[in-house]
Amino acid sequence: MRPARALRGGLLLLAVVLMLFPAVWMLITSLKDIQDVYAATVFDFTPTLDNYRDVFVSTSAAGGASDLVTNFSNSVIITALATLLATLIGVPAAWGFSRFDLKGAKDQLFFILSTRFMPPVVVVIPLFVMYRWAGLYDTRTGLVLLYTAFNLPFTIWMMKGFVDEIPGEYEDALMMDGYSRLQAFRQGSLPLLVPGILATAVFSMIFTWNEFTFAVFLTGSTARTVPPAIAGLLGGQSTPWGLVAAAAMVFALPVLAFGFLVRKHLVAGMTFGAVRR
Amino acid sequence: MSAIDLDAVSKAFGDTQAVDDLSLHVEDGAFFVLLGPSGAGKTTTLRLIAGLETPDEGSVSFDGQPAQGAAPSARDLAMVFQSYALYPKQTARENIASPLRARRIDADTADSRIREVASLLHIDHLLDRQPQQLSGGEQQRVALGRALVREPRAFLMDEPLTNLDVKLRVEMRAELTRLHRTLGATFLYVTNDQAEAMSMADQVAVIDHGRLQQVGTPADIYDRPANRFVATFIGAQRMNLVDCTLEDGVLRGETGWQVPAPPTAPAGSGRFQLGVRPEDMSLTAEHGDATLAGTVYAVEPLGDRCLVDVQVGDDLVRVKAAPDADPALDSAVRLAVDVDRVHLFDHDSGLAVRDQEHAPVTT
Repeated sequence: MRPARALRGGLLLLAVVLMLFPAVWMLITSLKDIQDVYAATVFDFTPTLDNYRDVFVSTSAAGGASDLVTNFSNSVIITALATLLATLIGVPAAWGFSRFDLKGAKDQLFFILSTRFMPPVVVVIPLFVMYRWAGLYDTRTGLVLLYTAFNLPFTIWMMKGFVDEIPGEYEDALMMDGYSRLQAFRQGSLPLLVPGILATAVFSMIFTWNEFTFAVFLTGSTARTVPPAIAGLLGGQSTPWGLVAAAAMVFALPVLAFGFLVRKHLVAGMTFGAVRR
Repeated sequence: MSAIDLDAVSKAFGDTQAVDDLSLHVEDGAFFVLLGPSGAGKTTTLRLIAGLETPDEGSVSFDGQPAQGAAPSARDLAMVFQSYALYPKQTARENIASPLRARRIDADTADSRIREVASLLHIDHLLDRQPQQLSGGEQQRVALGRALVREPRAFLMDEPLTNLDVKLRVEMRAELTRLHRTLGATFLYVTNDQAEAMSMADQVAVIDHGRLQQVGTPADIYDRPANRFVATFIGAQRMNLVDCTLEDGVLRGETGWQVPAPPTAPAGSGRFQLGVRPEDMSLTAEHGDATLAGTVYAVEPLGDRCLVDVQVGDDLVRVKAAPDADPALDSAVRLAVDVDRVHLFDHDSGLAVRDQEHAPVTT
């Protein structure tokens, strides 16, 4: 028994170290000043929060908020809106595909999914031209529209699975009780769909929050989100590794916190379809 | 309360013809049962009436008024689902109150209605529980309560007793018929259990493959089945069917047995199937003029009676014998047929031979 436990513990420890190493390295780096970053030691340094201050406060003589603050607010606004819109449009769409006998529903669903077959890198150049022409280049609206469109196929497909799992008879019964079709959806299925909606929204959110390719090509300075902004810190004469690490830490935090808060729903949502009743 | 009419209604799902040219008339205040095996289209018929499905062809009308695409909520019907479809996040009380909420009935009236229904169904003490805390029988009562809480023009019930255990099912049968008497409302009831249909219905419509096979009172359907399907579907024990040929007013079987043809038999000759219910035969020792000879295949003593399966040629014939009958396996026995109660079916079409005109003429 004991050696087996020790072995299991050892393997788990190894896994933890391997998985956490990049995150821990980033955390340590974010707490070092630039001399310590280039020093040959790993743990022997004086921790400093200067990098975190620099994430938010401009280092220029004039002071004020840093560019990264703008990037962060862009990311938050764009992610929130794109996720919200994709959910608001995608959930009813999924319900429609699941509950109604639509002509060519399978083809429509395939078409919707097929919009995701194209890698972003392939479409980003024509999109760039179109966005320039339509005045959407470097605007939050542009990115919100794009991310909504990109989140929709996933939202519809995932939500359709959840709606399929909920017996249509709840809605039928509500309609017999005297409610309209939409009221029946709102009262009968929507409450049961909450875990699924949360799980789907979290995935949309993570995708949007982390998206890099579109953001780097379709934004300049005004609407730039965090991922291309952090990438933009690299290069130049010298790379402020401490600042990069601190910005990345701050950037990773909201998704971690959110995922942690909804983890119960997330797991329930993800295993929802797998359980036969 | 109102009468319900289906006029040549058809509905297909993809390649499956669920309901095929179905016409029905349900009297105001009737206990009307749609009976058929699973997949016969009974539930679809009910959903077409409810407005939960739209017919491909034909129309549904209430008291002569075509429903013509009216939403389910506008049809003023109550439905009990086979799964009960109790709303999972609501208590029994909230479930029952749902139709009243939809109609914005004030809280006091609603409350007294709910209490009334709850005491009628003996579920007063369960009102604050969630559906998942209720047993199958209790859930069924709550589902019934949700239907009974208002006075719709008709109650639609989709196999409401199927998910109950046998004892409860038999009890609920009696309660439902009492309820029907008390309310005097139109009940349209779907089941695949012929005993339920026989025991509860004023009128039974037998459906198979989406087509109406026969409609009539339970006695009609039992005594005068229109075809082979109805004959074998109705009855606790399946009706026996034995191939035979008709010649000179006598039915002859392959093993040489002879039974005088019933008066309904046609004048000519032809191939038929003789249908006899197990209770219309008896074991006998005599060589009468209406007996079948065979060997005992199996014996099932049931206390009040004894079911004996007899091998007659290639057919197994089941007879309901006296409880003390205990024939030895493989012994030779004779079956006396009650000639007045036999049925004759056309061998190919399966239609009952009722009178001379309808009889097929074969030479």
